[in-house]
Amino acid sequence: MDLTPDPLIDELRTVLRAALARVPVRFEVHGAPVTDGASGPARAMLDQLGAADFERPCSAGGLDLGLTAGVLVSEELGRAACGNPYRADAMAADVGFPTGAALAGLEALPIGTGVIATPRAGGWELTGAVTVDDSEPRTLLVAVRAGGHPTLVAVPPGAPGRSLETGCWPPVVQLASTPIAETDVVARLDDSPTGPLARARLRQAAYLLGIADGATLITVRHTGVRRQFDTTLRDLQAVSFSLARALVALRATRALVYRGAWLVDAGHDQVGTAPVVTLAMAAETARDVVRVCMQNCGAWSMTAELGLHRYFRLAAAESNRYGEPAALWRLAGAARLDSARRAVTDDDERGLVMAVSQPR
Amino acid sequence: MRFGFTEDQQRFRTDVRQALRSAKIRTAVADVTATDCVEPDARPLYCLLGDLGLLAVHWPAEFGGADRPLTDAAIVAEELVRAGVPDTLHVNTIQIVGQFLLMAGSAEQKRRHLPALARGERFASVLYTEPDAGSDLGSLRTVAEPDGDGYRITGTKVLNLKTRFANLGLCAARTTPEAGKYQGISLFLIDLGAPGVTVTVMPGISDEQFHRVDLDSVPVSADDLLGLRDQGWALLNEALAVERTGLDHHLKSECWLQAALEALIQRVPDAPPDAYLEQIGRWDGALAADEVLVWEVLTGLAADRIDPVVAAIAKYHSSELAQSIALWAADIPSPEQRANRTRAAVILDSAYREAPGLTLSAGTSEVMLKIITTAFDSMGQERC
Repeated sequence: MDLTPDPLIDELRTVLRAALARVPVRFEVHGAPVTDGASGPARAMLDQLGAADFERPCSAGGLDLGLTAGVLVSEELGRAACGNPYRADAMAADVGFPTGAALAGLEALPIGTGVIATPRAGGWELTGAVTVDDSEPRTLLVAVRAGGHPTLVAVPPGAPGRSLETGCWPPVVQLASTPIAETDVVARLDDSPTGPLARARLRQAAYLLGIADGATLITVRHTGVRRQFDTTLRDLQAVSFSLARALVALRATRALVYRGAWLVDAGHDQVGTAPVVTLAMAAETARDVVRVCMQNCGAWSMTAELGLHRYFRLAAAESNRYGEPAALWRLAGAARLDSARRAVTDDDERGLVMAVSQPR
Repeated sequence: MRFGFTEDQQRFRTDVRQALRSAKIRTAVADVTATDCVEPDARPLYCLLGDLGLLAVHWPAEFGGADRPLTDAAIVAEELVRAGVPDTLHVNTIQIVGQFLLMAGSAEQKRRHLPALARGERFASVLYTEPDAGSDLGSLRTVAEPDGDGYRITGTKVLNLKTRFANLGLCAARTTPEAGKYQGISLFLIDLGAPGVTVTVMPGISDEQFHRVDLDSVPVSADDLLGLRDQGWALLNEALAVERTGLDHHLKSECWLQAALEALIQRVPDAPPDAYLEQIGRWDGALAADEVLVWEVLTGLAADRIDPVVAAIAKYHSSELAQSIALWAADIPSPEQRANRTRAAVILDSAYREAPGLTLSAGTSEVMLKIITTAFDSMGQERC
């Protein structure tokens, strides 16, 4: 391993951070904390930077910076507590679909049936209510289980039975016997370690990492100037140690996010469950770290004063958006146990005791 | 950034693994596997490993090494543990004392000590902690009084490991007691067979026993002073940062999780309950992150970059993780497995008793958190 930071990625981070600092944010304490999707204010900035070209291969006219660049963009969006107009286009690009669609229903992928696909002649009927990441009436790429397989299907704006509920946040799309044809199937979302779903999970993990990181930064600054008991909050060990633990969690999560992206970019045979594990850890890090930040900043965190409330709201919505963490952990745990079981069997067949440890 | 190993590193790892599979090594490993709380003498095994040239591959050839990079030494350390070699002698002798000699020792000291350590003929122990100086090492009371061209050292060191098997002690002592808490401290290499040295076992709950070392006017020469007189505090801190790669703890996590899975598979051959799967997934994720944090320190050290915060994060994460796995896994072996003393049950029982020490030795978790808080002022400059 050589974990010396890549100067190009460092430079890209600096550019993104500077650009995101100019993107207007929503400070209202009620209603949606961010504007998601293609109509969000971060979209213009990303377009200006040509972010759509970052991951795109050279053969398709892109910069071929790999998923590493994609997770970097996602992390910085989260860190700035911006909505995420990047993920839908990036996933659409991965499955060869035009840009401008919104993603829906990914929360039901590891388990559950957010949208039920009932077979009918020439296709399916979709029924269910799932989270969507845009409040504008766009074409939706909806994750469903069709024929037992996780599948991404396109549902156009005027489709029968489709309605968008924007009074809640995140917005919800309701599908009532919405018909789709086999030609509306955009992609199978298999568990390929380097496929579209794996890539999307890593981008979402990075977004969650950024949310936790941004909240921590606000908290470290605030507790460094806010005085109580004749000292700054940060000089109180109960505060500083909880923030130090948050830093450790952030470093561990960042390690997984960039390792996962590197493994995918390198086409490494060790990708395995890395995207699942990374997403689960990032989801829990975001929830836990933001909670610690809210506590350390006191009641000010619940007002618009610090901007921390946006991170708090985002952490709740985004940590489940691609699946419940516990379900993701169970997937990873089952895979790890299978691997151990195979090792036992192999060793038994060779007449050996089980190795004390298997190299990762 | 590269999160995988180069082809050269992979070849090297394969060669090391192959060497450790020899019948001679496997027999010697079996002989030193702890059973029923008895701490075996691993020195004969280390002598064999020294013959294979595996103990200090990153040291210069003139000092018994193979001129390989530090990262290759970490690969060897990984493979030794995976082959079942008890690692404390290696950690103390090569990774801490030897590495410190390499960094701060004179050419003569390196020539005198390093080759025998690399051959597995002599071993070293760390003598920092005292009855009233644990995490607060600045409170140490051991003194080194000038005596002719050398010194005489008097004091008591406690809670050190493997000392009864060691020949050499890296000892912190006050050379100018009136200079202040963090001044006037020097580091010495003590011959543990010298007159005035008494080593006694301090029974503890883990397989590896603690020791008490009483130093009664122990003579050391000026050549045994490591670094400059009275400048030991800075060296000590540097040495502690070098110790804190987290690699040893990471390898324990790996080993203990594997033993837990082995026990679980034997106990519940079909699918275990979801709660187990969920927790196994968490450990798997934490281990993957742990490996990256550890290697971040190692690659920094290989490039002569010692970042105390990065090291503290790795040490904190790896030791807390290993301890958590050990505590979780303690309940996994069934009564039958415990009664039959299955390999996994024995490992996990030993792990549980060793676990409390992980977040205490080489800097407690609280000390690590304190170091990490120094990063607050530079936050916002993260690199991936």
